[in-house]
Amino acid sequence: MTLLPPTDGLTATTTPAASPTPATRGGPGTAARGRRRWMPRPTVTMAASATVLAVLAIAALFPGLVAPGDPLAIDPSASFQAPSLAHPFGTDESGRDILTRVVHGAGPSLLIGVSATAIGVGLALVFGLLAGLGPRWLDFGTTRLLEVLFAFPGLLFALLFIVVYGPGIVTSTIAVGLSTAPGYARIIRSQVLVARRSPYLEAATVLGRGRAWRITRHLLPNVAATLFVLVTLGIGQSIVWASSLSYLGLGAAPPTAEWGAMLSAGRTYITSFWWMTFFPGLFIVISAVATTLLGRSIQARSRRS
Amino acid sequence: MHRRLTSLLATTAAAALLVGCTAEATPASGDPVTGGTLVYATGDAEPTCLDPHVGGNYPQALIATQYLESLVSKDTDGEVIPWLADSWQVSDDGLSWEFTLKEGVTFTDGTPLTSAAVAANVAHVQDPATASSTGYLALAKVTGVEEVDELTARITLSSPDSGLLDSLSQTWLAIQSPTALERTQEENCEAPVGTGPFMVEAWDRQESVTLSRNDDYSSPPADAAHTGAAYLDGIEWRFIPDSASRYAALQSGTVDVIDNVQPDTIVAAEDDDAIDHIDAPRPGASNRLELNSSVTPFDDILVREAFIRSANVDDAVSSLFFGTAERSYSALSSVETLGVSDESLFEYDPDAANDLLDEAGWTGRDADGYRTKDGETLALTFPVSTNQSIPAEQSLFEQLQSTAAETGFRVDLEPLDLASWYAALGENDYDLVSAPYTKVGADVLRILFDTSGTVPAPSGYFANHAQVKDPEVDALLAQASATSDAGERAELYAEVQQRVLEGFYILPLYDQQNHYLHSTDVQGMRALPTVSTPALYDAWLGR
Amino acid sequence: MAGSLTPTAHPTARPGGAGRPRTRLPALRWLLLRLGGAVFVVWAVATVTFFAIRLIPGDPAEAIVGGPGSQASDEALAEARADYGLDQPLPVQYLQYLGRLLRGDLGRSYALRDDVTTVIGENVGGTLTLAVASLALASVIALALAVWSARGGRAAGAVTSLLEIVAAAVPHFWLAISLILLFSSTLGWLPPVSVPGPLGLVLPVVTLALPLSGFLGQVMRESLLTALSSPFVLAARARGEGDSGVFWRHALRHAAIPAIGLAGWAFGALISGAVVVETIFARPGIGRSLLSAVQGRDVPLVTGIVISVAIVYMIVTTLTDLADRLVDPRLREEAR
Repeated sequence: MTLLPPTDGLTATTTPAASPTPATRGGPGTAARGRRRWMPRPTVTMAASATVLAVLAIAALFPGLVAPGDPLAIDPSASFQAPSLAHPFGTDESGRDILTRVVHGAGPSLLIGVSATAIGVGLALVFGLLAGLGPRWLDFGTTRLLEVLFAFPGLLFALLFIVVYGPGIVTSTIAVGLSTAPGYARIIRSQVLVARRSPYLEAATVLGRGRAWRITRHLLPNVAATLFVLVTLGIGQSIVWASSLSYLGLGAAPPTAEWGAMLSAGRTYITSFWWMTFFPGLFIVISAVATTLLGRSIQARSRRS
Repeated sequence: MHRRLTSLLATTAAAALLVGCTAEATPASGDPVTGGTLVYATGDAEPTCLDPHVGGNYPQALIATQYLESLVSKDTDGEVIPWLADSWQVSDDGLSWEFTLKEGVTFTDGTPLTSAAVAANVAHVQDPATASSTGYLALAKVTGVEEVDELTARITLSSPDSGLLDSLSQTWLAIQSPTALERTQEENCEAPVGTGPFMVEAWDRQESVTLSRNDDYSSPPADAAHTGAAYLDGIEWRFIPDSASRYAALQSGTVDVIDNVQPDTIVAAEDDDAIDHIDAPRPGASNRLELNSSVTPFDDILVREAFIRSANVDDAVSSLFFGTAERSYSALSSVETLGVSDESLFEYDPDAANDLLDEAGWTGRDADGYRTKDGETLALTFPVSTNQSIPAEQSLFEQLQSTAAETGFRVDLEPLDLASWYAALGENDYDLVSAPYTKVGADVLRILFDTSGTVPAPSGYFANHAQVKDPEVDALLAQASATSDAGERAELYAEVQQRVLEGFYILPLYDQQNHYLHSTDVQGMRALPTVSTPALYDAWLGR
Repeated sequence: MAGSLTPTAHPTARPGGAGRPRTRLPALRWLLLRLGGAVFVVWAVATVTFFAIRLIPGDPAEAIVGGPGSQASDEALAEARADYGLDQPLPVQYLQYLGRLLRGDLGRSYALRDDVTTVIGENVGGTLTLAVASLALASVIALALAVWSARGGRAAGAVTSLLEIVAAAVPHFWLAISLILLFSSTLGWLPPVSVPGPLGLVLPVVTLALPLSGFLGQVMRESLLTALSSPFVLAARARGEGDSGVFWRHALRHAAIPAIGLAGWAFGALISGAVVVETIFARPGIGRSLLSAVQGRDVPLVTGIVISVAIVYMIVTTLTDLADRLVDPRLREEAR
């Protein structure tokens, strides 16, 4: 639900490193950062989260391999069955197998997370580059625009958007993407500003390199590391957020096997049949945690190097 | 009177036993105790105005039943019984009705109940500035009210209306203090003044409405269990939209009564000795799918029948409602005595459905296996109001979607909020729709199936969603409305229903569900036989 | 609030500061710029909302006369339009709206038939109580986690890190319903819906605070560790101050700075969360009003709430920036 935080949680961790930036390597901040006792060894975390994500990706791309059943096949006579050997995650109100639905739901759910993040980060990149590289007035204008967007709490913005364009999987994805863009844009802008003032870019300017060359050769690779982290952190949060919209009845249409929609459909049965909401919820949390861990361990590693 | 009371008590007791409180934890019976505040938690939307004349929806009726009263009521057999009016008389031409009011009744602001009050109320409902819809429609034929004497009001009609008493029994036409009605609409919405057993004390938006006892109460309906003031000191009327929180609140004793109970919760509550269940289906129409006969593919009766035969409703209802809802084969609620039921028309028969579609020319198949005709897929748009259809009902639609797909129908479910849903209907952008309609009496058939019901109101609203445009039906409805002979009326309405059912315009599902759960501490609560709202006048707390 | 997390990134992303690194900014000029920026933001938010909401399909007059599906007559609709000035051309409506806004008049709610300022006034208390209590609880949890991870060694670091990430990944409504099931339905310790008194506040506050503490915890721990290895801590140690003295007196205070900077963001997150939490726990508040206003197309109430939220947001961020400048002298004295 709180989508902006990852960006801020991130700034906390990236920006200190970023002001000397990962790319400037060996700036004043880096030495202190070498002794992080608290961070689990990146390799372990990274491996674990990457494995989880790989499994989720396989489920998303080839759901039939993992769960051969039909996620939409109803069987009223087998409705509301508790988890058992035949149905490890139980069945839902129409007798559909929840394990099958969770597996087949990985695709649409991750797609929502990925697309929303792509929209958010993509817009943010445009804003951030405009603000960071454009003339002073453009920076001023973009920054003001971001401030205005910031003054709309995320969910509020999404609610307005969905009311205007109607509920559904596409609009809720766009809504989540749009409402996260300002957070990302701020981070990218500050990254661009820092990189722009870095010695090597100044050198490139002195050497008479063209603007386009400077952007593609120096700025983008620099910003890319941050972008990657932003994306990994953002995907999980986008899924969480989209599920909240589903809870409010503004998400995917039934009977789509999408985690948020499954949670929403199961919420009235939660007192009697906990498994209907527990398992889709669990997978939302697992994918959000896995992407976040991956993002953070990459971040920690790049800082260390 | 006394005999009626005892028989009523006996039926309530029997109903309570049926409901399944087999092992009473607390000593249930005993003499009513005065005192205590009952906490009622509603899952319906918070009304924007507590005066049910304004607009006129079910959430308003739920709460207004506690402080407003109607001219007449109905008993459990469907007979009209006295309430604020002691007696009534219709003229031979059916164009004027004389109501004699109860003597010595005063509104809670001290204004006496007189014929002038009846006139003021009818005028209030008919005033465009009130923006009444439910009440306004019910009074469509009323031309005015004459004050014959202080306690006699004569209501005059433009044409006979056999459903007038049914209409007047509804809370949306309850009688309010004429003095209070003269206030601004804001003030009246905030705290309407009636003759009821309770009065509005305060309205804390989004939180609760506080109701306190009317100590001078003297006008219970003829089927009430006692006379004099109510037992409860007051009612705290809370708004708890989330169904899981609402039930948890009842279990923990934070609230005493909840409404809008989900089927699985009803079943769970059966195992709880401290909770009782009241099943009170709403009057008027049954819950049904309406097939839009004005556009393809449902302009073809073969396709309509094919869809109905392809939908496996029985399995879906029994699995989703756990036996708390009974399958309906009628256009009317089971509480309507004039309802006609025909099971044979709605049997699940996929083979017959396939034959019908072949006959109708939908013989092609697309890549997904859906039927096609002239390159057009057999697709049905089905806007679903997430506000009006409970989750179990939405799941039911998913199951119908799945069984209809086996015959080659592609049903596109579109969950919409209320405003978008009405917009979709207004633009005739639907093939299937489920829209509840609560009204007392068989006259609801006129609203749902008369050709005039396909003409949208200025706001775009219309009620004949199946778009039945059958001159025969219109004529029968007009006759039924005009006749004063009860037997003839019943026959005419039966004929209307048979035509509608045989035209495959609707697929009946079950009664409009209306369940209350209450703590066994609450005794003597019942649902009003008119619109099935909770009546707490006879209720008392046994804790 | 991204930029305010660290002193170095500070001036670049500061609202009101022109965005470029600048030299010495006198306090008064800084404040005036901030206020100007805030007024601009509120105006822009009001304008965007005013026009965006007119894109919503459906006739606003219908919302006035009884909501969707009303069977109101033409006269009633026309009267409603005239009453609310909806029969005027759009630019006129916009100017009237701005004029009212300047006088602090947010208009009348269509659905509630009451002044928007009154409606907000009645509901703001509930949301603020919830938000402040949640923010306090979240800070306590986050601080505890940060301290534990800083002092508890490697294993504690790994565990707290995972706890924070999991907490931040849990959807509010899922958490809320799980808490109700556990503490109300099963254990019967706490009321599942709002009741008068502090007891009814427990579950909603915990629901809002847990995910927030996950985010705050990550930030606090980071800055705490940075502070612990910074020169001034080393200097303090060199002066002979004890370990715990250094920790509590210097490092912890330093670690609070980024958390203060997050207040603006946290406020937005809490308002978003309040929409869900207030609905589930049946608490009166701004979040729930907003949801019903949006669903009921109650234009004045939606715009009123959005503007109020924006104003409070601007106040919060200005105050936190001010606090930053007071707590962290470098912001006053040094320009990047």
